[in-house]
Amino acid sequence: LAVESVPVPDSLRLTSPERARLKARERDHERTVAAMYRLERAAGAPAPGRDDAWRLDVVGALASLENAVSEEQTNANRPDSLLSELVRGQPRLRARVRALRVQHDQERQAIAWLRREIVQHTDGHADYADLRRQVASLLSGLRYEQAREADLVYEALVTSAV
Amino acid sequence: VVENAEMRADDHAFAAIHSDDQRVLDTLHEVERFAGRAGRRREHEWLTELRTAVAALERALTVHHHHASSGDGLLTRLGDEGPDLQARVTELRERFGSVRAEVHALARRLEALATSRDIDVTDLRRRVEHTADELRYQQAREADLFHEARLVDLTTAD
Repeated sequence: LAVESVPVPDSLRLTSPERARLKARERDHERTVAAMYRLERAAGAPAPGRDDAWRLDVVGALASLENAVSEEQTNANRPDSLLSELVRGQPRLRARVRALRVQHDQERQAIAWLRREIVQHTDGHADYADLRRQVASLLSGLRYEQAREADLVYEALVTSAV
Repeated sequence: VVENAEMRADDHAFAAIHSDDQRVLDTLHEVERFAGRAGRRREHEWLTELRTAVAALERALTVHHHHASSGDGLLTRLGDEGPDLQARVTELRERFGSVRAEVHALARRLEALATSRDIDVTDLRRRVEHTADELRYQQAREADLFHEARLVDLTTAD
């Protein structure tokens, strides 16, 4: 794994199951980040004169991202996931975790919507400047949510150790 | 023979700019990765990591700028090919210049916050995101420009 999104301080003594849940979450996160990089590459590739190929690459990258986000979401919603465990241990986090899950779902829907939009409008020239803008906004939303989740998990781990 | 030499020079220039762009993108990813790491309740560690990453991005942009503005750089040569391309090259340079200024200002801001007790993680992430968005957008426009120029070259060669 690359740099973990949630660094665990040495002073924090996590149990084996806690470490396993954290690692599983990082793996899901990394898969999503890799899919985000793929989309970023596809959208940033030259577009003029190769509209169809460009559009096809972006659609493929959106599909990969949708899968990655969907899998991450499914895993995070499991009763034995890190988030579920945090809520069980600290019920005051329930509202924040619920808000995160709702936001995740909205992000996934936004990805699916954009992919369908591009697939359905294959006639004529692609407005790639506009599509790049939409991709940027989508990725920006994802990054924001990822950071919020990292904050929440870290705060919860540190608090539970006190 | 002259044409071959020119084509080799073009290929070399494309490879150089591609390598610079990739370095900029890699360092940008590091900036985003550290900005997106848990920040609350570890604000100073978060800031230190982010400062290091932003400094690396600043260096990568300086190298990119140095190569892009050199006399035998691809942008310079494209600009010499006609007034339309010249205008686009000039605009691209200006926009890259603005991004470099933004990154520099961000680096100074992070430096100023190093001893502060008031580090607004969310606000700084927003600033990183804004700068990263603009940088990616300009990189895509640069890729479009090079691709279009290459298409014209190939068409002319036919």
